[in-house]
Amino acid sequence: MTLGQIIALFMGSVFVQNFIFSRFLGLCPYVGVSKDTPSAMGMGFAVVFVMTTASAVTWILYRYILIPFDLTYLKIVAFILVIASFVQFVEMFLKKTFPALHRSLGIYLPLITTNCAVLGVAFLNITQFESESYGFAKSTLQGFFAGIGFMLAMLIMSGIREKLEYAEIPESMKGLAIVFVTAGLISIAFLGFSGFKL
Amino acid sequence: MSIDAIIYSTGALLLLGIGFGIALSISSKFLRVEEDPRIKKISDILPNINCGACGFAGCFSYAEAIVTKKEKINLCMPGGEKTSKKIADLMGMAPDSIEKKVAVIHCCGGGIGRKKYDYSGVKDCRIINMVAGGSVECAYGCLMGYACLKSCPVHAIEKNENRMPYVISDKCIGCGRCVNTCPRNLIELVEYVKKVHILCSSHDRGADVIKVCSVGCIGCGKCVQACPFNAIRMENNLAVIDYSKCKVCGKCVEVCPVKVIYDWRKNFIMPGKQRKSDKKNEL
Repeated sequence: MTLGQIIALFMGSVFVQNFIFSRFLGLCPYVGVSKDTPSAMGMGFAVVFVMTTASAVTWILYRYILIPFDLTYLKIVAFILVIASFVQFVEMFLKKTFPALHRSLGIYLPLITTNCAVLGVAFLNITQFESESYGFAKSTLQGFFAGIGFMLAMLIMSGIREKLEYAEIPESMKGLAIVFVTAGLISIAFLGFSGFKL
Repeated sequence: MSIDAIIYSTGALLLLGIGFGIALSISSKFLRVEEDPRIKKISDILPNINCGACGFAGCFSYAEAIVTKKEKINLCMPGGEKTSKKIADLMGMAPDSIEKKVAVIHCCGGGIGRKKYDYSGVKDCRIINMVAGGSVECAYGCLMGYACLKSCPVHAIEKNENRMPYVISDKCIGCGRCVNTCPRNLIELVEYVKKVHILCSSHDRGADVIKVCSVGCIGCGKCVQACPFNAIRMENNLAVIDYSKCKVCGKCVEVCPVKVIYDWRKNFIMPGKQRKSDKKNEL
């Protein structure tokens, strides 16, 4: 695996094919937890952890258990099982070490289980790197970079939303409406990366 | 579909499930958090608006402090006596009394006072205050940016006809959010029963006050002499009521030549309203 491939993976999952801005996956926590930067940051780290570990484990699971036993039709169930366990672990860990962060994340933490971005990256890995060499390393890296991309999106959004608090917004656009418009505009900006070739 | 496929798929998922189950139960042994069930109960009793009047980050932190650090149970302003009593029952403590407090904005001339410049930008007084020391000439007056109005969790702050914000005492829960928001520190928490207020915060000399605002305290000291309880004192050219001594007699209201002392018992006059007819003081 060359450095060029790693950079390509990084650019691809953080900017060009950002899970939120160009694949439109995982919008629920993106809108729900991006009110202030600290909790957005916490959510970002939790998603990075879950995505990285889930990508690694699901790739092993798919390659060495599901394919040899001809059980590939079970991939959705098996992957959800893996992701749910990891989210459970993250929740326990956060409750023990960062109780304040755990409280501010609230319901959105267990909701990572159903975060389609996590399942999305797991599926993307097995379709892209199933038979490639260094498939394990590539899928783990892709999971990690996808998490970084998610965190980047969360941070951009929370930064803008903190500034929006001071802005004068028309009555009808207050709250979620202006957030969706903002998300759309950032998404258009990220569209510019699609022309970016390495 | 052969029976083998069913056995294989069920078996594989069963094994996976058992594997993750064991791993999670082991990690839950290490990461267990012991939590007092009373914390949850108290946090349910509290109003859960996270206003911060108690001095803690939120209702949950206050509940935690009550149970673990034996914090006083009468700190919740919005909840009042009822909440305090419920917590007292739960904790087996004697209930403490709570004096209901409401916010008072000590300015009534923001809309009338002379402007330093025309401000056009983000309409928030915390920001206006940074632009050349605020848009009104009076260095102590309200900037009409309505940060207090936006910060109020119960919408107890409204604008009067001069667009000056004022607190509706009956709606106010005394959380103190506006007190911390106001960039000019005009807002103070006062006991609900004390209904007579001096609505000016200007420490300028009388002559300077008259130049910039028609409803500012000129520091004449008439109210100080009129008060039978010595509750009013002069602080750097500003009359200040000592609310602990004030008996709410209302004598000072009558003698004030600039009419900045308001008695909200008789009829709730919005600050600045009576100025409309008072043409001689208009700038």
